[in-house]
Amino acid sequence: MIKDPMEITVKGLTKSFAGVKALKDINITLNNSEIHAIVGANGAGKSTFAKTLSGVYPEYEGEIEINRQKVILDSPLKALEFGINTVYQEVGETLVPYFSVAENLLLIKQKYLQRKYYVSEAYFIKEAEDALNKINFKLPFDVRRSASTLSISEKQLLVIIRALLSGAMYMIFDEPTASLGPQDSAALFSLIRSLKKRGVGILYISHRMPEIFEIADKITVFRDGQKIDTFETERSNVNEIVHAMLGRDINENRHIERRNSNFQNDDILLSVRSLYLQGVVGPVSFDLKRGEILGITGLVGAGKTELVTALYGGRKVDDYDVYLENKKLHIKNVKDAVTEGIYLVPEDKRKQGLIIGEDIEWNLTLSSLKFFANFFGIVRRNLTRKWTKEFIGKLNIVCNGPQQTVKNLSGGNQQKVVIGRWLIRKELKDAKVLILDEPTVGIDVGAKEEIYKLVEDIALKEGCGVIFISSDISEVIRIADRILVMYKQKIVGEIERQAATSKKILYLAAGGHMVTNNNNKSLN
Amino acid sequence: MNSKVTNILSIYGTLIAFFLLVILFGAIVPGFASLSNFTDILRAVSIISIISMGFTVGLSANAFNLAITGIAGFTGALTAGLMVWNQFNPFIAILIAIGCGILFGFFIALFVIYFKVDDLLVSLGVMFITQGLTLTYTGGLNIYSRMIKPSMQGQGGFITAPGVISDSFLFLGQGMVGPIPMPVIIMLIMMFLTHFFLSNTLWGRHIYSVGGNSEASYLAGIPVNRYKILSHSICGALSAIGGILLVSRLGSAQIAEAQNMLLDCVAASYIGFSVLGKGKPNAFGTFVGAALMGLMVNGLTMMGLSYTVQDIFKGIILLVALTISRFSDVSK
Repeated sequence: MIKDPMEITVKGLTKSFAGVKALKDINITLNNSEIHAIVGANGAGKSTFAKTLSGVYPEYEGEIEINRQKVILDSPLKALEFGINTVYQEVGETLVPYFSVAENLLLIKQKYLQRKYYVSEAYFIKEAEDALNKINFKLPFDVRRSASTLSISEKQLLVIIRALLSGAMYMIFDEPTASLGPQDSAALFSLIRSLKKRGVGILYISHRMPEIFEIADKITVFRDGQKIDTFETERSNVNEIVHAMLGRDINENRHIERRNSNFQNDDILLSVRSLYLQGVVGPVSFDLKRGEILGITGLVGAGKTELVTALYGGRKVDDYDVYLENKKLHIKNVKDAVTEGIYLVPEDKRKQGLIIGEDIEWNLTLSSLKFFANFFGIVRRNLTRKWTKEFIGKLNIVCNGPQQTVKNLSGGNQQKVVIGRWLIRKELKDAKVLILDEPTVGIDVGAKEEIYKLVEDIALKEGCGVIFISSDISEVIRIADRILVMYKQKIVGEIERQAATSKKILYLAAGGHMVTNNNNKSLN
Repeated sequence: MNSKVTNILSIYGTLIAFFLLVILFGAIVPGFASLSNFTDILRAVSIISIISMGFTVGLSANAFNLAITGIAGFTGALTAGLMVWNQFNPFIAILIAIGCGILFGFFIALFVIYFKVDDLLVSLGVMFITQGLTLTYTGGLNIYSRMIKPSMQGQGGFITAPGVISDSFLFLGQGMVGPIPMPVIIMLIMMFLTHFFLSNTLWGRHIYSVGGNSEASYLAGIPVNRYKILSHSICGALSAIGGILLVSRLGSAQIAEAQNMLLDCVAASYIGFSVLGKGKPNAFGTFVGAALMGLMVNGLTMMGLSYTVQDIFKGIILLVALTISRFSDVSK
């Protein structure tokens, strides 16, 4: 059953969020005879583009035409009516967990609602089987099972088949392999190919090169909200794509003078051996030197946060060894890590970093409160006040005073509070390793520089080992002495500061080294 | 509304309402504005206040504990039973009862931590268990000095309890120190201790931190589970103290009396959020909340309104107070 041709033409599409343009003047033509991949680094606008096409963002500038007819996609329902379906990363959210597979399959059609007042499970099963026969598809699992018992890949399959049943002409996949293992990914690819044979067009959003070169007919590169170019996969190669993703050599920050470290030696401070958590991270091994800033980068979903959370005791791992100053550590929970002098500034400052309803003093002294309490456990407020004032000054936290609720601070000042919390503890008790997870996300440029300076002081002057995690490649090049690149839960490259270029890093982070394509020449 | 006005209202709104009510009732109800009446009001709310302090400590760690009055009921009955049937020294009986309250709190916390069941649901279960335990332990009878109960053999005979609820024990709930009733003094001490504990000690502040954001607290190196156990245990202890005082006040263990206070206690703690613009559970606010409700009930009763309308007004107070604390959330 081959469907009629369908062509989606996007003309001058622009989408802004609070005045910031996430998409700028996108012109692109998609049709249902091909698999079209959209690639780009983090924040390039891929997902925004996909969501606009799925009707998630009702307000956009520009025009979208389907078969030369102008359409307005202002709700997901509207997009569905035109046959545009989207498979989101969190597939589970579009299923009703305690309904059977059969009932979930019929959820979108809801045929039974129009015809019957009473429906039985048997009715659903029969209807679902009929529908599957009609499109000539066999599910590898029983339609009687409840949706909550399905694995992620099975759920994904269910959602895809449901879209097919509801008459999908065009399907959008947003990072579909993010939570799949290699075998499930392979199965997904063959399903996507068979969708194409059935005349369903595919828009495939990803930043993983091996997948894109395996599956896509065309590759369009986005950068900073703009469409850069579209390539025929047959006639392209990873270097070309990575180059397009980066653009001209972006600011490599070479000009920034590196201050001399007081601790330039090869004294290994922390050494992690085969840290492993199945399906989530690793196995990963690396060393951190005294006074060194170790950058860890990789694209979204590479496992960076999972790696440090596991290291910090925030998550159980299957297996690993950690040595701090050649002493083996047994970190069972965060408190153990903190006691050993390993501190973490977590990724989401509002959710994981701050007690948002309390004031600056409260948050700054949170991890050192026991040093400020007397024998009876009574907190000496004069001490907490004194230290808070001192650190508000030291870190240049812009506020009305120690009593201001952190909720009302700007993102940069909030982050300084979280970092400052550890600096206070460090003054009172020896700290060894500071881990910062995406410390500059949502912070303005000026505050970013202040945080870089702060981090440099901690490492270069005071001799802490710093692990600096960021998806922003140019930032890692700016700050780190050595850079580890992660791809699909593993470390795939280690680059010294002097040798680091954005291109080299992005090539590794996007899995470029794993592409088996005849057109590929090796890098350099 | 002008932001300055909003700000003042969000901080002092509940206290202003409190004093307006005093003036209003004082103006229209003869005999309302007298020292003895105020003492009566305080005495009437003292037990609810103490149990609410327990609820407040639980709530500070973000745990909604429905078992407070169940624990109060059981520990009260236990105290009375130990004294009347087993002739325990009142002091020992009180210690055992408080220990028992702590154990219930501990049990709830363990369940929450190890089986990851929500606090509300675990405490709902414990509420039923404590109610059932109370009924089983008392055999469905109120416990009083030298009580008589049917003998277990079912031969129609009766047994008389050997012990009494001693005067020294009754003094706790019924005595006066000068013009001030003893339960009011105990309540004020409990309020002060709870307040001091929550806002001035290491442990209390960590309990607040855990309640404010348990993930951030965990990542800051605070042993979250330990503080959950601590807050639940204190909650159990304060509930038990309330239950014991109730027995002392009534002179006997009345099996359903404590349970009736549950929603008043919950309301008192939530009204407390709005007091002084704290926006979080706090001991002084909880006391104001309980007193406000007591004041309202007292005034309305003296005006001759039927007790049937009291709950309507309690509900209104709660809604107004919650609105005020929303304001303080926004303006902070």
